[in-house]
Amino acid sequence: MSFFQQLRKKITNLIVFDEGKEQEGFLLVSEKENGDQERQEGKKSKQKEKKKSNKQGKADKNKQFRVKKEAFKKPVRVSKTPLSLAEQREKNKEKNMEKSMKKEPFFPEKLFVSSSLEVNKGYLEKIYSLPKNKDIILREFYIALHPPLKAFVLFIDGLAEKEIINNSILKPLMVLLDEEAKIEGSEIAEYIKEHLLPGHDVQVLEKYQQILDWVNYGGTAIFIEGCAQCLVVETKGWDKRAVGKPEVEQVIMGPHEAFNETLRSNTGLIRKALRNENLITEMVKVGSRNKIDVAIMYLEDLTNPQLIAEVKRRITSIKTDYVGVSGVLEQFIEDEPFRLSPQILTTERPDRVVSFLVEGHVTVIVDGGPQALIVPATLFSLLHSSEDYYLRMPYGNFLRILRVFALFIAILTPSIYVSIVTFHQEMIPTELLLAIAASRATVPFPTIFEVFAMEFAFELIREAGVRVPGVIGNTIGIVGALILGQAAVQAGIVSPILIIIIAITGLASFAIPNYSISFAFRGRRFIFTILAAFFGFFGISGGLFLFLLSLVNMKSFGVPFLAPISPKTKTGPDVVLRGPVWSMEERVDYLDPLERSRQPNISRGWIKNRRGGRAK
Amino acid sequence: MKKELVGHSEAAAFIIIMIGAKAFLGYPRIVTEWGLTAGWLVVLLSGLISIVFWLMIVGVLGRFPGKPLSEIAEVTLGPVLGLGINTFVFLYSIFGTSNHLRLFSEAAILTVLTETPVIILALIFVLTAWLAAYYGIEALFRSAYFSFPFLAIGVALVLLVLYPYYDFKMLLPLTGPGVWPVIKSSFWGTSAFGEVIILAYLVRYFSFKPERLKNVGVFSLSFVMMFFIAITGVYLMVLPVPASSETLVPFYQLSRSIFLGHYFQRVEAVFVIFWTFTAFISIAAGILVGAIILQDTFKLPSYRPLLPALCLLTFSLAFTPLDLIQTVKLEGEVRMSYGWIPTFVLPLLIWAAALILRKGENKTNDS
Amino acid sequence: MIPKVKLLFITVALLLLIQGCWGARETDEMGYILMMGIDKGKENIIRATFQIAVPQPAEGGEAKVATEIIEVEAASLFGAQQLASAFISKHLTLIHNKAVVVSEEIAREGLSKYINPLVRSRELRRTTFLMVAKGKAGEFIEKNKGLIFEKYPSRQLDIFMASADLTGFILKSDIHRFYQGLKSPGQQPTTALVAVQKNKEEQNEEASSRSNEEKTIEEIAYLPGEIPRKGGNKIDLIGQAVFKEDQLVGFLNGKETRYYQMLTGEFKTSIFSFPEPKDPEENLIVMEIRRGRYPEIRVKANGIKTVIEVNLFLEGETLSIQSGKNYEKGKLEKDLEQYISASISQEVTQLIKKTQEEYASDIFGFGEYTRAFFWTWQDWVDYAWLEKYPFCEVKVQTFFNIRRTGMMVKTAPTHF
Repeated sequence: MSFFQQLRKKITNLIVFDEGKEQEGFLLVSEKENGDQERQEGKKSKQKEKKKSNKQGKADKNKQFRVKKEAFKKPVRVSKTPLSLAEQREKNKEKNMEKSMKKEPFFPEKLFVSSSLEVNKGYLEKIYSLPKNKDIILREFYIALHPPLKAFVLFIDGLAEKEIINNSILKPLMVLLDEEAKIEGSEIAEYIKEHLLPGHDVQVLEKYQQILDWVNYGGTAIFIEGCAQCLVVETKGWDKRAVGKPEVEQVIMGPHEAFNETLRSNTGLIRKALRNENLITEMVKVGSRNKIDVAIMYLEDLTNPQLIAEVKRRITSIKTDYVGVSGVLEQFIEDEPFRLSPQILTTERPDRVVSFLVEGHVTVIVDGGPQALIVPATLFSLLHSSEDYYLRMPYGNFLRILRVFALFIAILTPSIYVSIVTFHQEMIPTELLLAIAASRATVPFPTIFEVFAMEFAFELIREAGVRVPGVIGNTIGIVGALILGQAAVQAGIVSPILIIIIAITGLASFAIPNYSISFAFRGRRFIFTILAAFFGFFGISGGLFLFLLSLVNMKSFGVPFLAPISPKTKTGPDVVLRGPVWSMEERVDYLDPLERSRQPNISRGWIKNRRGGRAK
Repeated sequence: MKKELVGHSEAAAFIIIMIGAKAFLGYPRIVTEWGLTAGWLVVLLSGLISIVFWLMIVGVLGRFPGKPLSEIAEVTLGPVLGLGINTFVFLYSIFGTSNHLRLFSEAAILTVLTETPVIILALIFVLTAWLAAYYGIEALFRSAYFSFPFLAIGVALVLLVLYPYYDFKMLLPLTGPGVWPVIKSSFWGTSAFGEVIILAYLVRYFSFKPERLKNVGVFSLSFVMMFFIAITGVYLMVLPVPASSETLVPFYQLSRSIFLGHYFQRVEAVFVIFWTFTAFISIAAGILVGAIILQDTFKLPSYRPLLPALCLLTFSLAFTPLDLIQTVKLEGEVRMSYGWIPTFVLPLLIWAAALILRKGENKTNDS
Repeated sequence: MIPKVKLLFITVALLLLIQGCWGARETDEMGYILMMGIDKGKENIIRATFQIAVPQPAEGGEAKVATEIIEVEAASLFGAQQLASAFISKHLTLIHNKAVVVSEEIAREGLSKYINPLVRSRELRRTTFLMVAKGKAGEFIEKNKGLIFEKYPSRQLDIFMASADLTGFILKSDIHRFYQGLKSPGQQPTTALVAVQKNKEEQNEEASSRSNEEKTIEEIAYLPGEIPRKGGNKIDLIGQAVFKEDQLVGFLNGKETRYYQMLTGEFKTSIFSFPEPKDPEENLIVMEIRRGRYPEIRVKANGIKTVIEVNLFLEGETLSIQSGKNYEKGKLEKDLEQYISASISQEVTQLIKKTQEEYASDIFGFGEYTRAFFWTWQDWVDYAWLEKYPFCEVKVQTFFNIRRTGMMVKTAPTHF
């Protein structure tokens, strides 16, 4: 007895355990609120009461800050507009160098608004490097009270709407006013906000950090002499693209709206389509140098809280200086960076986002990019197009079936061609084989080389078509495809049948609706082609097995990539083919939404035959 | 460590593919050698006998809810005898896998890759199996489940497009070699269904209730039985009795016989994808199952470090027989004839021991 | 991170790949044999004929020589295939071989030893057509020229065999069928029969001495090479070769092959001519006959004698009634049906008698129907049907119905 236990222990100790990487599913994640979140929300909430108590100690705090500054370990971060900095550098490099060397470090995070206008001006000049920084406008004026009160507005040219500043800030304060100043000191800010400024979003702030956030995002700050508070007015008004048509995910039937580069208008588009008070838009800032707003949207009464927590956990944990667009954020939060398949659905269509939100997914939108990320994504959701749902069921299914074929053609056609021509010549009709043999007779290369050369040429045409300036973009396709193909065939370098194979493969790969997964499959066909060149169908079969294994082993935010088929979970009739809309009674099980049912068993109230509604 | 769990659909698909992989090797030939024209009857009877065996084994598992068979063996028979039995089962499973490995590699050479060295093909099988087994039981079961419909469609297609050959006269005389030989070989034939016992060894990886294990086993057995009957029946009709014992790879021979006019002939290469895919799954599964039995036997916390060793063992065992005919004999005369001893008789012995020693009852009373 | 296993896997896989591609063959390295003939050799044991495809570009316009025919003498088929590499640069392969033609001479000696390697071969498959050529197999392959669109004989032969459904006098015979006939204790093998056309004018003169009735009945009763015709392809596919065990024992002509296929159930449709019952020398009736149902065949044994009962179910469509008699009317239709049934039954009985008495070979597979008598395989084998077959009694019954009468519903009387 004891001998065997010892033996077991020994064997256990002998083996070095290598558990491999554990998947971190959202089920394991403990909910963790982040400080950034509060800061973000606090910007919007009224902070009057808090501010009043702080008022007295503001001067002391300024002093304290100078004493404490040595203790800070963090490097200095001063908000600057990168563009202006770059311009400046070019003009006077050396001078700039000297200045920045001499410049004392600033900590806007800790600064409070001073009651002295001059001090505030000084701070701002330092923060924004003002005489140098040409698109930061600091305009001084007098508020037409009796007696006139000195003040200045601060905004960034190009981000703030000048019409609003002229008509809704400067005009009421300088021209239309004719009042006695009844209020003294800091009360004046509240008074102006409540009585004099017609702006729709005006806040009274004290912290510089908050003020800078506003100004850097198109707001206008008003500093008043003798007032230790600052008024900020929402004056966003940069030049932006209007809501345009989708460029990547086009449909024939269905809405033609697409996201643009402005976060607010994107969230607005979603809210417009999903009118529900439970739709939550949480804002998270990502990036230390460039704080980009990232919106996390979900339906609070539907989405699995663990999923929301996991999304927030992943996004808030990112420590980087700059996340430009959703594509970069996607790479930061995806599960399997080394796999070919994408694990997050990217879309530019608000209606698509809404359809996923009501299923219980979470949407992440990064400011500055016209794409929204939808998590989690499964293979099947990546292969669906929104048009499948907008069309009637038979037509939608027709598209789906077509796409299934396209998928297999895109992955396998070149490899099947290679295996047939080099290994399994018996399986095609004799005439076709002899036609291939005849067309290959003049080709001086082995089949595999021929295929790779053509595939490479095709990818080249595709890439050139994207990168080339728009005016000649269309001609590239024609020149590349027609002339190159024709010439290659006539020169006897490539067999004409191969041109057909490559063209069909290319067409099929473009029929896959999601850009990322189309990339993934196009990439895989090279692997399959190599395998086919060495082992024929045996190689393809092995490749398919490994391909399937890698798909099955993948997870997107804790959801298996091939759900709901493998592992099998309950789902509505909408995986490969879709059922009629009135039969989709349940939401997908793998998301574990708070409410499973989408509609009652009989969703069409008007039908007389109650069994018609897919009775169970 | 996160627990890997699989559902009942995945388990059923896995078992069906594990058992069904034989159909792509010599199984139809072996059965028709035993049962001549009544080969399909042998399959039917041995399937039914296996179901009965399985129900009895479920009875063993019922006495020890939630425990795999390897642990039950130790609990009832004591650590020494239990360890011996488990090692024996493990060796049998590795022997089966290695035999399959050799046969599948040889079949691939005979059919598609005539000039490839056999060692390369076996190496590809083994490496793929290693990777698949490393990904774990979840990934393998799910792959099996996902590919199952494709494989089923592929096989069904082959059997259906052979309809010009269907001639039910060829299944007569009804009892082939006679009633007694048919029953005898049906009993031997249960070895073909022995892989169902894997369910009993993987009990702790199932997310479903132990009571459903019985249904999963019965469903898989009946499904495979139908599939075997179909393939044996078609085989008997396409290549009637005297010729049926000649073919090395019956399924491939069947797919070679497809002839539906000028445009649908010589298509056997397409179906190579289906049966080699099954081979990939079943060899990976064999190695994984062996690793798990070994893990449970020695109470190891993980099976992954065992995989390289097991792969090497399988690989070297596969090349122990000198030539193909020896391997075919080993498969037909040893594994297919006496495979029921480790798969069905041993668990029943354990059951008997548990009954006599009154081992399971105390456990259930305690809980 | 990529797991170590994966990394190792990729490395080993790449190492394997670097070693090279095994068995990959480019199309231009291969010579595809489309048809193969086996004759007796002079220098060596056999003389093999290979028809090799010459790939032609699709846009070539003028069809040049699409195939090349070579003959090699060797001891075995595969030896001949290899020896051909001495003068053909391409690697000859049988993967696209459509047909194996065996000369009469070899077939009479016994085909078993030539069929075995074909069945074992990986390249050749059992669905390859197997035909016996009257005369030389090599000559047949040489003389065979398809129509313009049938550049290669593979397609031509597929269409030939498909047309068997419309005529009934070509037997779809492949190696599989032959092998099954060879191995089964319940039947004997048979193959299609082909030959090069003989140019015999005197045969036609001889035929003219026959009566019109005989001519009508024997309309398609030709062996290949004997069809009175001019122009077109120089070869014929008609009739079949009867084997006993693996030896050729005789031929069936086109007419007999048609009735053979009726018995095996392969018969689909064909055009039959019958002499007008009342006026056999002057007029005839042309009828398109289809299979109504599969034939019912029962073998009954009562210890003393064995009886083969055959029920044929046929349907007809009238194509021509030369006499202008209104056969569509009432009892006449029944009479005509009975007349045709009787003549078909008679012909079928004659055919079975011929195979029993002349060849003693059950090519129909009647023996397979006796399987149901026995419980065990051994009992059935011991029954030794093939020895009993020549002494069986035959009862043939034909159930014939005229289903349609062409575009006419009746024949109005003709007034001269």
